[in-house]
Amino acid sequence: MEIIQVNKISKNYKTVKALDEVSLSISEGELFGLLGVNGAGKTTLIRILSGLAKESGGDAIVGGYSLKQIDEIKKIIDVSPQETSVAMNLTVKENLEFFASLYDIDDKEYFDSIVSSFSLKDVLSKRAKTLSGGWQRRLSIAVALISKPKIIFLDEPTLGLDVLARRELWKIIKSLKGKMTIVLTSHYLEEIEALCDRVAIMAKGHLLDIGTIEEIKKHANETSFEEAFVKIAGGIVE
Amino acid sequence: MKKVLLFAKRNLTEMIRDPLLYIFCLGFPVMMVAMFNIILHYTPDGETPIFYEKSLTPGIMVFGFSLLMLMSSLLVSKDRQSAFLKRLFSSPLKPYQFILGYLLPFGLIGIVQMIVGIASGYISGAISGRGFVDFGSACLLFLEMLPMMIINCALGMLFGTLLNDKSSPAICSIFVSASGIIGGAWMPIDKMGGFETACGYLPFYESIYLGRCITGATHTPTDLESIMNPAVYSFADRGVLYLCLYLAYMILAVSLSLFVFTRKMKSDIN
Repeated sequence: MEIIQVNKISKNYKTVKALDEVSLSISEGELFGLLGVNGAGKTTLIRILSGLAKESGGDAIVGGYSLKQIDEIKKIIDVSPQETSVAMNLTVKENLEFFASLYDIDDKEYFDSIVSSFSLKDVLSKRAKTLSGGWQRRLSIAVALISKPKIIFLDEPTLGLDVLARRELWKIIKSLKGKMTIVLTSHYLEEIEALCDRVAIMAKGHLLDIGTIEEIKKHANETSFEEAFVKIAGGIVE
Repeated sequence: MKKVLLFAKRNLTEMIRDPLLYIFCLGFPVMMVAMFNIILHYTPDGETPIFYEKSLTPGIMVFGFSLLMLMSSLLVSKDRQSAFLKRLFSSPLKPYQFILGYLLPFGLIGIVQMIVGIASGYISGAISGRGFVDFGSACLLFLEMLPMMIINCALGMLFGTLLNDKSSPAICSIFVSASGIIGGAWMPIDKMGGFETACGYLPFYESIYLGRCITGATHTPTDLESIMNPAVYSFADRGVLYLCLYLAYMILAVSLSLFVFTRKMKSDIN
């Protein structure tokens, strides 16, 4: 069952066309990747679907609601932006509690399960600003999950993290597979390859290809995903 | 209302965990009263009534509010610059909940600041015999200073919305200086003729003037006669005009702040 249907979404900024009639659909429970180099339009698409930007044209149905009903959409989604977005002077526990209450979630068992899956128990009483970048990002994603969203948007979740921290986060993201719909943007090919069920390749606001990793390799007639991406994003495959 | 209180609690927690709040907003009035007492100790009697507690307390309070404005603007600008506010924009919080969630803790800290300011002036004045001696005056001064506190909270939110955390302190420092100089907090502008008239069109001097009417402060003496028989700040002189202008500034500052915040929020989502 499709939980997100994007229909010819466009976004124009003064002189730049950030998205040009992009259409795609994402199934419920899927871990869907948006892959592209900087300026491809991945973040813009996520911003539109989560109500952080207004579309210039087209529409999308998110969880059964049109973008015109963005207040309803906001109740079933959560976003973890590129930058760490937690309250720095609050403790880890206070951050989690704040966001849970914001969405009227009062489920101690679920709270404990998030703490446990993100291994946050030992840092619960620490202020967010005292955590390392990797732990802050981990908290940022945990905070997005605490609201029990049906759909979660992870915008470049591992950007700027070292290899070990990135692998740790991959493990966590993998453990969420099937429990909710995850839309993840990245420009790390190995991340998309390791995590996603299906991928959309974007460049300059256009959707260039969509499918599983194997399907994309097949479309590009390449055995490696990196080669396939270079061919497609470089405009060799139309 | 639950979400407003939730967001307000977060903002209050962020602020009270910043040590600068205690230095600037709460320690400052006590420090200033102590400092001017030291100055008075070395000054000939009767020559500097502007440093008496009954004259100084309204000035110190107005000056202190400008530091509250600084702290408020820093919180909003830091939230805007980090992705924290962006994330909250994708939550079910409504614009009015954001605004109240910011203004409530600012106001609460402002009220504590007012209590500390009035109490330090009151206690010190009671000891030195240069203060306002009745509790009713202290309560009235509290009410009279509320609009100025609201103006500063609103401006803090306005500057935090428009500026980043580097430039908002710079702009706020203009107000810090303004409240000290053109507010006449510790400068005898009541003897500066046209300059005093010009300052009277701004809320800094209006609020301090009205505060001095309440505390029974006396004007700066210019000769021996005025030292012997000092003239008291009188509401009958300019009180009505100043009160009207003062309240108008409060309405203007709050309206402007609300308008700019909601507009900026909408433009951030475009």
